[in-house]
Amino acid sequence: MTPTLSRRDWLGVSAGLGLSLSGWLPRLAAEAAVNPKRKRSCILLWMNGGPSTIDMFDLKPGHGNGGPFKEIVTSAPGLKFGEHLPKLARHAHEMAVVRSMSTKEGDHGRATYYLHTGNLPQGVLQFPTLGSLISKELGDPAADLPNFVSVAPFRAFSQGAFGPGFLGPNFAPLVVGEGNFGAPAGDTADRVLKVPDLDRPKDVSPGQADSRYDLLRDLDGGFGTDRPNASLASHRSAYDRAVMLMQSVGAKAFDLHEEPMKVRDAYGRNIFGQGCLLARRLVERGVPFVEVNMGGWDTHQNNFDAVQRLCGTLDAGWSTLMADLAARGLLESTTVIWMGEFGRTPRINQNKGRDHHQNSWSAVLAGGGVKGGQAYGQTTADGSKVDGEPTGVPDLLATLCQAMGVDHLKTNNSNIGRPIRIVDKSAKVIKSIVV
Amino acid sequence: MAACGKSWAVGLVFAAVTAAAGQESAPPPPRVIHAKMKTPDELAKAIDRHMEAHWKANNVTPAPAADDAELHRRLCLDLLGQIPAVGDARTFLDDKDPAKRDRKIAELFSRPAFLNHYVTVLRLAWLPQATDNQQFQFLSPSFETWLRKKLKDNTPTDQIVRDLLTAPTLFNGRQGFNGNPSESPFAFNQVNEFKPENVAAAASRLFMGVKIECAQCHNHPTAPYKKEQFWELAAFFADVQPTIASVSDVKVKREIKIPDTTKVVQAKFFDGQTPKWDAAKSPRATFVDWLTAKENPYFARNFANRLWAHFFGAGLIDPVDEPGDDNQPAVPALLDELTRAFIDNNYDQQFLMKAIVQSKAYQLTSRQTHPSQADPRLFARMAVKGLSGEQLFDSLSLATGFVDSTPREQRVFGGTRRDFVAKFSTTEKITEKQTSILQALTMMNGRFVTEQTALTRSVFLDGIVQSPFWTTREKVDMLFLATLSRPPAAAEAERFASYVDRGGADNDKKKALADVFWALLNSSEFSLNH
Repeated sequence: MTPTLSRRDWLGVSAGLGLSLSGWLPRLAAEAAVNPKRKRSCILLWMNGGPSTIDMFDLKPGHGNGGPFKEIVTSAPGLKFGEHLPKLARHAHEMAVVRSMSTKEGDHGRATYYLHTGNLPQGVLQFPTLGSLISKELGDPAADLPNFVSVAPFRAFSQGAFGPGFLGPNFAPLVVGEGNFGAPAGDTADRVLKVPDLDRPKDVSPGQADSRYDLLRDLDGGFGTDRPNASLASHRSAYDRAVMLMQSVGAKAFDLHEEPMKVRDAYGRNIFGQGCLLARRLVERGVPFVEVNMGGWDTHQNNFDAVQRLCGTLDAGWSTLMADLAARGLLESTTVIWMGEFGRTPRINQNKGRDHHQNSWSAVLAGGGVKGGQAYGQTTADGSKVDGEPTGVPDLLATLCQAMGVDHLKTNNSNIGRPIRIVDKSAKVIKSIVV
Repeated sequence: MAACGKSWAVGLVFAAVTAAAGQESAPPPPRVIHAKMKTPDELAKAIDRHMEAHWKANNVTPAPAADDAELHRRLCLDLLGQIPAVGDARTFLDDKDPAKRDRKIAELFSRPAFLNHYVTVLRLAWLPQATDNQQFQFLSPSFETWLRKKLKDNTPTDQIVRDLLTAPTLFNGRQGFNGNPSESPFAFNQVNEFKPENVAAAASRLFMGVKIECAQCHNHPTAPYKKEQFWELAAFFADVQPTIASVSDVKVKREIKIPDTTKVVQAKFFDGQTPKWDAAKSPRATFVDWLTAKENPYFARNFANRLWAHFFGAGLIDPVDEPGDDNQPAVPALLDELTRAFIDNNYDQQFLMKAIVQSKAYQLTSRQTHPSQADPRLFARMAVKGLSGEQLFDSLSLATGFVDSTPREQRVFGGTRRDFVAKFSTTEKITEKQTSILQALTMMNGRFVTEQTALTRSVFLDGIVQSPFWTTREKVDMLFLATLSRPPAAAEAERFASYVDRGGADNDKKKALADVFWALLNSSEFSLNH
């Protein structure tokens, strides 16, 4: 059963992927898309370093701050992107650009934490990262695959920003590709995106692994009979689920070799591109939250060369992801959020760079639950301030929750006993960009 | 008993003042109803008297005493942060001396590992931000060195806290930072970002046992702390800013402005008392005087409670930092007794620790033998506790004979231990520690365990496997002793020895022994403190 696509969508898909149309839609994905039990998924595209959104989504051509990039039209009338995002521009009708983002945090560590958790760092209170919060709401605790996967996070700026905080290790992300930021392109990318320690050690035969596990079960059975305890139960359950993951069909999601070469090429043979492909595969299998990280955006020097290069990678990966999700009928139930920790200064510095600028920058919501084809909010002509009502981090995150059908006011118990809402109650949902 | 009468009178005054001020009334100072505890042994007996009364009053049948193996392992984990070495385990089990438990306890307190472990425990509690945060990790060694010295010299706890809270600044005005001395408690201010409110909140939580963080921004919904009380406490630390033009420029600040308001509050003690200021004494020293005064109702009680929690997995007041009407001590008279003993013995934490581990209550088995033992607040069986990342790694190292080749200075930042510990660190309650799938994968397939269970790479395993003198049964015994610190039960011995003799899955006795070793290291019994 194939989802219906308009002719224009088909053209978009095929042009973007450079594929012939025959035999493209795998049945598995199509069935997944129409499965009534299917819940929503979220893909966070995290741009580490603070991307120069004034050169990508909110250009000021003709102004001294504008820089050399031109604007291009997109698939959404009236909405223009920077010239180095041409493939993405064809998906503008599925995207809502929030141009009025504004915070007071210009420090990488604090801002990264703020954008990821919706809260500023506060002493001992350990706020959970967005992925943990959302996957807790949407994930199935008995699922084969972990509910939250993080691809190549760069945690140096803020360890806490990427972890489950007070929700505990059960909501920690499965991390792949860590320590490979800015890593090699080419074939090593898929080796790097494997689950750590998922494979049986080489010297251990399958029979041996099975009998080891039998011995373990014996030992645990004996020990636990008269020691009722939560830690014990958690230990056993973690081991059972780890073994399930090792043996599961679901774990094959991480094997990118299953994808045709052309698809892998279309996403881009780099960590980000292959990470986006992995995200699609995971979402297809019901994983509710995947975070894909991309670095290099801290362009204090040579901003324009760097941004052009980075946009090449971003454009290929993100546009292919959008097209791929749409083609498989998954876009309606998958919300994509694109952001960094802040934007960059309109004023170009003496190194042809742009510095940190948290007063006014852009973030993007796309896909499921989002009314695409529009820009929300605006900045002044010189780009230095928001013109009108600024959008805070809680507002953005609450809007994301709304698009996904998650109640952002729901509370969780924190490590200091205080109940903490998913998003602070001061948040204002941007109604005009939610379906 | 004049001192006793005086402190009682002071207590009345306090109670009256606080009642008048309409603030939360402090718990009454402990009444001395038992004789002063002069030795840990006396206190241990007192603990047992209280517990027996508690169990009787609640119709509880306490669990039986733990056997030697169970107790030995528990003592080593609690006091040294690691399981017993295989040789020590065998020696202890074979020892026929009826007084061996007390001798072992005395021996453990004298081992260097005791101080190392307790210093780590305190650093994790007092400098939580230094655990994972790259910005602050480098502060741990200097802090630990300072703390270790204090504990080794048996410095009374009130003096330790005094030194911690009034540490002279490491910043030198315009010349900037003095650089990290090799030992200093100054990190306490650094990890709290030199913010008065952060330092005050940490001091209140750790040393008064009162978690007042919430009141920073608003009046606490359920506890009686008001926002003003928080800032009055923070005002004592208002001079904590690092950059000062010159030492003589330091204006003694005794007040603080509440952020986002125009209100300025004066420093005031938590019980509502106004300090008697002395020009020669800094506000922080003034605060510490109040905090560590013998009649202060928070300080000693907090430490007594936390020490209990360290060994039993839960405090007599639990959570340890949320006292209140709905969180009364499980055994009030016992907490009073421990508090009084702490004060009377010069705030000596080791005194209390020795008493606790010598008590019968501590030495109960963790097996539940009667349904009346189910409620953890009864302490009628020892609670099963999780292991910290440090305890797990150090135990694995000991069990496998792993030697860390990372140079000492670098161990804070990287290396096998650090990487492993980072994967297992948590702030959960130790009796409810969870295991994640990734942690399970690390233990099952990760490099560390794989190498240490590989026949060719693990020195310890190889030694056992290759030995020509031991029977299969004896080899299995050794593996159990090295990992679980006990010999196998009859049924276990039969099962595992016959598995090895059959050669396991690949008809190879040596591989089968490695399988047994792997299973033991991955077992829940190994990964828990019971």
